[in-house]
Amino acid sequence: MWQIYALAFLMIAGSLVAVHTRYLLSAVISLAVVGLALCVAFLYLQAPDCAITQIVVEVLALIILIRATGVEKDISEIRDKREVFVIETAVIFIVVFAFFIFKALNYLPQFGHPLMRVSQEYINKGLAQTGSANLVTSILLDFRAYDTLGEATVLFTAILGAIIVLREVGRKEK
Amino acid sequence: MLFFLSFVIFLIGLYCVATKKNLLKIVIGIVIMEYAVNFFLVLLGYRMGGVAPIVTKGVKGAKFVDPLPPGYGFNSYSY
Amino acid sequence: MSPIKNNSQGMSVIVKTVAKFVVPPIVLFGIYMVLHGHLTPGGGFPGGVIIASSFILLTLAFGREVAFQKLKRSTASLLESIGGLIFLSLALLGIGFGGWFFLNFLPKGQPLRILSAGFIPLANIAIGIKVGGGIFAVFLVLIMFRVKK
Repeated sequence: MWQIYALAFLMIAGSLVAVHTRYLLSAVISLAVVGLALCVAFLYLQAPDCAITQIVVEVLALIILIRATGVEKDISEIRDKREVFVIETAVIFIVVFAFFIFKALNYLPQFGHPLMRVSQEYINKGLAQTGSANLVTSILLDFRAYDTLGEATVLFTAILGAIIVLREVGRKEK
Repeated sequence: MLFFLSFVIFLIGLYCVATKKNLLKIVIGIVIMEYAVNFFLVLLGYRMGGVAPIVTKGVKGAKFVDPLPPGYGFNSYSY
Repeated sequence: MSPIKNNSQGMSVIVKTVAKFVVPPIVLFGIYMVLHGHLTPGGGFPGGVIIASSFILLTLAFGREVAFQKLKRSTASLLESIGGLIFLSLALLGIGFGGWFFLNFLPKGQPLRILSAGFIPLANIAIGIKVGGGIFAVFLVLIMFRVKK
């Protein structure tokens, strides 16, 4: 399992670069590195549906982000003073949070041996009751199709909101 | 130990949202937090020596990876 | 002027020629991924996004004005609404045929064939149309936005 550890450290390094750099184009490209390492980690963890969706959505987000930052030269640089009080408070809060997370993660089952009480039923009866070979699709569209309907509604509402904010017809002229 | 690494990535994104002032940096922080949560969800369902949950001709009753956490990750890509 | 030889906008000639050759296999791959959602990994969501990104490639390669003549925004919104309505009507037909919401009412054929697994292929097609149309509509709105001075 050393491969997943290596990819996790690559993701940590990439996200640190993305947070601290001053140039916005470099931040967006290190975000691309984080997403690509995550896609390869999904392949090692035997979840190919998540890997396909991850890389397709990430490329789409990258097109929009690069178009927003990298084209014009005067919005690609940050020059600010540092505010010491805000940074120290955030760091103290995050350290306390990390301590409590470390205590709480001891109660999870060990990595590699999950409790599969509900999933064992889905695996045993999935092919017989739905007839589809892909078990993840049979869960998403037959056993738990109501969640898919909810996600379709959320997507529709988000697109509606984006189109309403950015439209040209019907704006009030000042 | 791997669960804690995925939470470290989440905390880096949280630090970025809390301290930076530029709008694009805040968006990058939110995207990092989302990647970390999906990573954690798929890590929960891995089984040692398991294969992907797709039934093919040669595989009959083999050790499958838990099929529920990829379903959660799949439905979360709707931003 | 034909859109291929218009050199004043869009990208260079190399990009336009390669985009012409690459877009049909991309659309074919997206349709393949939507239809085989119950046999191979993938499904409705990635297939829809792939089909939308092929249209985005056309818009990026040929410039803004040419793309607006061919692919209108109202078509994309119409596709998205139709996809959502088909999905919802499939769910409601379950009530008509049996007892509860989302009942799988078509017959299940043999496994590992395309026409098996009830209404799952139809639901995948509906979701593919919905996601593809929605993402393309958002992209068109984003590039049509101009700050008025």
